[in-house]
Amino acid sequence: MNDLEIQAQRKGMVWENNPVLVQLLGLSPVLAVSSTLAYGIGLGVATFFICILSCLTASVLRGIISQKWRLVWYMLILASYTTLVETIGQLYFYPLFLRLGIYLPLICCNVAILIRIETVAGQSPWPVATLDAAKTGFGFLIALCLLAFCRELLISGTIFANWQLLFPASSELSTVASDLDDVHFFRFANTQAGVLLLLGLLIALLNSLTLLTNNTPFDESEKIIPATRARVTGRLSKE
Amino acid sequence: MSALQAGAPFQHSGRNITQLMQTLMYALLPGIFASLWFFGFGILINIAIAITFAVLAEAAMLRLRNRDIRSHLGDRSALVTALLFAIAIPPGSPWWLVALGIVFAIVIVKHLYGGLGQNPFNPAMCGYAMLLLAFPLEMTGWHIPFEVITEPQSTDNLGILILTAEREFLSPLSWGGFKQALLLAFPFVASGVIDISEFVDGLAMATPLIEFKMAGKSAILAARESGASLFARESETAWEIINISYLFGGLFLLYKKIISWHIPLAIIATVFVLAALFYAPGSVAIYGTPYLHLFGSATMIGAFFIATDPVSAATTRPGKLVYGIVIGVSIYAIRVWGSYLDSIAFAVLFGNFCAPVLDQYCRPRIFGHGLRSKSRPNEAPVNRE
Repeated sequence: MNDLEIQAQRKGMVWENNPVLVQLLGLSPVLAVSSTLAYGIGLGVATFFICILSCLTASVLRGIISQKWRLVWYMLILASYTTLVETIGQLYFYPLFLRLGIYLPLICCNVAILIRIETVAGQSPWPVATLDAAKTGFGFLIALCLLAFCRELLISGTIFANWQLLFPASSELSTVASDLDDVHFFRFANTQAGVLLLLGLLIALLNSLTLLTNNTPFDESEKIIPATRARVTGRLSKE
Repeated sequence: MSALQAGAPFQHSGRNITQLMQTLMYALLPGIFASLWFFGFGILINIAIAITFAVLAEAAMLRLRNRDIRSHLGDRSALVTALLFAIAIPPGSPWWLVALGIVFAIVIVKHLYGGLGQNPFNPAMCGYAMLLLAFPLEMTGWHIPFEVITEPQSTDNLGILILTAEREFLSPLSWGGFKQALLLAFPFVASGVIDISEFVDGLAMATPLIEFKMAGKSAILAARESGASLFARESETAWEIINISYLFGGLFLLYKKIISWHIPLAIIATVFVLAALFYAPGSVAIYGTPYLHLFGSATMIGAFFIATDPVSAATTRPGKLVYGIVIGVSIYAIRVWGSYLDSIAFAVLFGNFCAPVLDQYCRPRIFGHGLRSKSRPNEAPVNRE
């Protein structure tokens, strides 16, 4: 078992190994689509389902997938489910689909999912893989919602505006939700610099609440080998 | 003798941060007085609000970081940041704008990066840039005190009153000007009584350069026609005198050896050369005279006070020259081809971005190292036999 797999089996990994807040992966959809809570929930739920489905599939098919071509397989699986979700979005959530734009198809390039398939789902039985995928997807959803909530409050001063977008709507209803683009409360939160700053402050806040740190003492046998990548958030692994 | 091994600077000028910052504040005084003379009490109110919130934010952050509050507050660096910030933003800004900007500057730009000496960017200019991105409307209105007299003038054919508002310019230093500046800074006092939006000039009046730019953007012919009046000294004496005051302040800093000549000279020379190169009187592309670029805008305070921030600027001598040139080019380019009204903040921030790289590649040769690797006369001969 490698260290990521050990992490996957521990409790409370939604926060401690959060793909956005701790691993800092999959940031481009997080930064781009988090302007209102409705968009954030929409993209987060889509990512959640794609993550679970593709991890499950990769885990079930891991006997067939050759080691050499596994990345191609993973991308194919991920892209298939993304296309499926995209089609469902077009069918039932067309206004939301329009507003999410390119970032819904781009889920198939989300490294936060791909790394779970590569490290956990491709080597584990399906219950482990599904649980891990559910935690990852849920962590992604939570992080996206938190950031989107803060941003929406700052940009336009509203809470959960345009919530109608999240319900299956026919095309006639699509005009109900109005665009908030003309109102700007704190415009800086709408710029890329502002989002990155806000994300940093959010991570700092959660760190200070010790949500992202692992307080449970863990055995020496489970000792995580320090990763070669510099860990910038969460718990700094002790030697 | 002490057995401690001391670091490299064995000579010390005997000047500490407190004295340095205090001299900087003295050098800013002439410019502040000139602004006060021309634009009224708004700038003083800005300074008061900025200093209050800067000190509060600094104390809070020092407390959070477990530093000694008294000694760190005593170095007056927060006061200098507050002064530079308050000068940069328009007088007549509401109090929350000033407070938000200075708290952002102190808390996020300065202390989250490690406090004085660690911040990679100029705090005052970061606060300004954040406000400009967040509240473009509030940041471009420039308040000039005047009196609004609204009286029914006449009735038209249908018997409807025609209200004509007349604007009479007040002396900025009079009691009325002070009252207006206070009302603008604390709008909740006057809520419901007076519409304070009347006080703020709709068209940005920040610097003559902006007026020129707006005219140039709206109609080319207008730019050519207004060229004559815009460059006339009578109409723009305010900004010229303010700039000359800052120039004197900067020269005072040079005399006191607080700053070196490299950065201001490089910036001013670059802006001058670029403006002289691109200035083509009578042509369609008229970008303003070099004189306007140097004295009709915020170039002087930028070159002497903001770009020379010892923390975020380049530190080596050739690095300082290149840093100044980078800032000068950015100032001119953003001003002439960009869409922002003020270019000093973004130019200085861009220079700050480049500063570490410049220091890396413009490192001076250390005596005895790296002159020519092949001929080293003092090197001990190897393996003679």
